[in-house]
Amino acid sequence: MNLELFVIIVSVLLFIYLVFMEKQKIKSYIIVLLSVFVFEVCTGGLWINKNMSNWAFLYGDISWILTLGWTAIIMISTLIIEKVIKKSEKLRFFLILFLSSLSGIIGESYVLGVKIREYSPDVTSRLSGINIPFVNVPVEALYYIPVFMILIICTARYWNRMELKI
Amino acid sequence: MNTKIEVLVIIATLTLLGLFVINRNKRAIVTFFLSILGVLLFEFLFDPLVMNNKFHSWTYIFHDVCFILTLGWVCIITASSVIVNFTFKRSGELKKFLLTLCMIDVMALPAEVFLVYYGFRTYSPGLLKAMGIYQSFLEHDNGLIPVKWLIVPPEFIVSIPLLFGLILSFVKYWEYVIYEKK
Repeated sequence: MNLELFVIIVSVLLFIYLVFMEKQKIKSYIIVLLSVFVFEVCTGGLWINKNMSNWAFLYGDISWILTLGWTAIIMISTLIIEKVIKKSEKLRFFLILFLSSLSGIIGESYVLGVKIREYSPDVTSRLSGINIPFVNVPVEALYYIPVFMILIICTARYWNRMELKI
Repeated sequence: MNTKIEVLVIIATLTLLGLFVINRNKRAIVTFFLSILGVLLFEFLFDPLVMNNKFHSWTYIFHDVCFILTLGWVCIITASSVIVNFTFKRSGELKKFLLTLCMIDVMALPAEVFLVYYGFRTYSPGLLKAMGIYQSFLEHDNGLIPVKWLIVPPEFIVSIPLLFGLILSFVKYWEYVIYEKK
């Protein structure tokens, strides 16, 4: 329940900030949210989400709380980097990727630690058994999390630029 | 059959690349290599859920990630992108994206069904268990829709276009970054 409340509060505050301070980023927020949701639906077999309130689950074990959480991580990273780096799109991309991946690894460590998430047997059979020091996350997350972030960030930044006219 | 698929994909890839080189279509070559990157990122991610079988051992690059299948998907993505960009030059970006995605899905969905039907691809129990609609068909098999017709889970009709949408967005984003006017 603590995680659910925390994520909802952060998401509401983030959305309020976007509405009052960065209206043009609301489209980006929605795109990231939808992209994360699509990704979670398509990769549902990789992990098992559990130990959250019943209302936190949307379809199967896909939790909209975790969807909001990942979205918040990516959006906050994007907002920070875009404030600091004004010009180079490539540099912005890689810094957003770095910051969101780092936050993602910390977030993953938390959800694994409180047993909200565990990896499916298909995944655990492929893991090396080596963990990243201090965060207790499999070393393979150094690949999985950045790849997840790359695909979401690219999708969001592409669709954000696209004019939605046919 | 596996040799035929391997030869066909390699010939298709070389033909496609050859056409791009002859026409000096640098953008298409860039799309090709970006597609390889996008598809490989996905293939490594989905490696625990999907097993690629029956290909020759030299085609496997990591666990059971088969570069023949990678090239197959890349050819589908690149050919669709180039054809749509050429045919609908003056259309808006959204229209071109949706048309490219439709063209990809028209080829990719039957290709996936083919691969599963002939045993070149199988899905992990974990992935099948996550497919709620597929599971309900299995549990409530009353003969109305023969379950044996379900070569791939019905969810794939939606998830395959969505996944290719993510890969295509990755490719299009990096095309924009590479060709961004300075």
